[in-house]
Amino acid sequence: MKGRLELASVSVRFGDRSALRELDLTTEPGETLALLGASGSGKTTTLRLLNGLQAPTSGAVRLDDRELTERSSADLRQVRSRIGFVPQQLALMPNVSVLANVLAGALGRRGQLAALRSWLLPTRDDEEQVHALLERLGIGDLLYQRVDRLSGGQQQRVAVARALFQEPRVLLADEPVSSVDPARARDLLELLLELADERGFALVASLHDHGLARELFPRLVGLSEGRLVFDAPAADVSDETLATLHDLAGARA
Amino acid sequence: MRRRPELWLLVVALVAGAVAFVVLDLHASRLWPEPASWRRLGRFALAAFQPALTHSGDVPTGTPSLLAQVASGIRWTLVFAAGATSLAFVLGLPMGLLVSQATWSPEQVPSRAWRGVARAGRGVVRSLAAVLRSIHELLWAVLFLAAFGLSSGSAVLALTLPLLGTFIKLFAELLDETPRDVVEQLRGSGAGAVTALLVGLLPRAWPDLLSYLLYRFECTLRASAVLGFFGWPTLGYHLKLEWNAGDDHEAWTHLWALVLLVWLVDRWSRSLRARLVA
Repeated sequence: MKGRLELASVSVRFGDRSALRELDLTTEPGETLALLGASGSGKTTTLRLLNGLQAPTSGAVRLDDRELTERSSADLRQVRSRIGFVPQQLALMPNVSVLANVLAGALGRRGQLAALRSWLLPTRDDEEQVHALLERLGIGDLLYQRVDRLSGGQQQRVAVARALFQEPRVLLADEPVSSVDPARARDLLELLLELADERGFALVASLHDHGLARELFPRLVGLSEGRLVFDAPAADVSDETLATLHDLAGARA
Repeated sequence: MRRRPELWLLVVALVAGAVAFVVLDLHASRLWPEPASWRRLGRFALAAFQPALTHSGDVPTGTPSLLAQVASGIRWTLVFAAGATSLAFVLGLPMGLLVSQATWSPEQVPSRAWRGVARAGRGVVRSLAAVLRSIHELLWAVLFLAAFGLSSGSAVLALTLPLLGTFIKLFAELLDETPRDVVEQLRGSGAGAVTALLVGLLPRAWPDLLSYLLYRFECTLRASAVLGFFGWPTLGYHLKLEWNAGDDHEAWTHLWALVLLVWLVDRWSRSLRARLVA
């Protein structure tokens, strides 16, 4: 799996509400980009399309030139095991340890029985890998803590660690820094970009901080009301263009 | 009428109560016990303050001491209740999981045909659970007493079946109420349907499941004690004998033992539950 993702003329409707309209978007293996837009502009739906959690109403979602919807369930599992996803609501298990939460990221790697066993009785090796990952994210000392005892920012890092433990080819992150202060947000994003570079995975992150996105990401994609507004190198995106994302959303409201 | 169901329910209950009074030919005076009954009741109540520590009357030689009888009663009450509760839990958890909606959501099972089969299967298991819990422990006990005699197996089975019915229904509901975001997340990272369900749902519902298990253990303890009335060696066995013989002080020894046992288990399970749910 190389990790080339492609949305071809994708539309998604929920009832009579259009979440995405005729969206075209391609990410190359190892590429990093930020998705920008007001809330309700379709960022989350776009990310969920990319790992097949959301099916398109029309259009095609392709991974390495094969449609996700055409893959067998075994094949889809295999593909998904290499696509990390950090959802905005984190979807962590509150009453178990950080270790157990991060280990859950690897459940797709093995057959179901082997996966269950390695989650319940992790090997020393697995545990050390998780610990190294947490150290890298700055929360190494929280390995055995219960997740509901952690701060919002720490929980966000746990969700990131779980996705990274998948050894992903593509990492999808929905507002990965929404619950930390600006200084920490920058640190975490820089770390994600560094890891993407080091391990060669593609990173697609949705962000509400447009300034930070332009500063750190080489490519920006702007969405408004489910439509693509721009898709350009960060250097080519002007303040005026960024401002249109809010104006467009404001004009509707 | 549709807008005030509570009011109508109250009216129906009152009318039914009045009809029952007339049909049973009840008078307020008859609900008041006879003087002789009052005296008997008074004697028994007074004995509460003086539970016996040894047999007062003549007992056949070789009869164990009163306290030894109490100890053995406690032991059997606990053993039957623990056996029944754990058996019902071990059977009820997978069955509850099997009939919960979380297991058969379209995300988990994309095939419409399979979901249809599952719906039918769930109906069967749910009805079975309803039958199991609509028959009281003591009724099951009478049934098994007739069928298998006074064996430990029949006592445990009688306590297990209604509990199993309750567990299936309650566990399914608990699992349905548990958030499914982690299950979806795990499916999204390639976990299989069963793995995602077990890892994403069970640990989260676990404290509630265990806390309910402990609560039902207390209830089963009481039922287990009452099984003694039918001849099993739990606390109710000697209680009934002493009561029939008019040995109120000895009867109270067994009653207090039951109260103490339930109180202790209640305290223990409450502290355990507080720690689980915290």
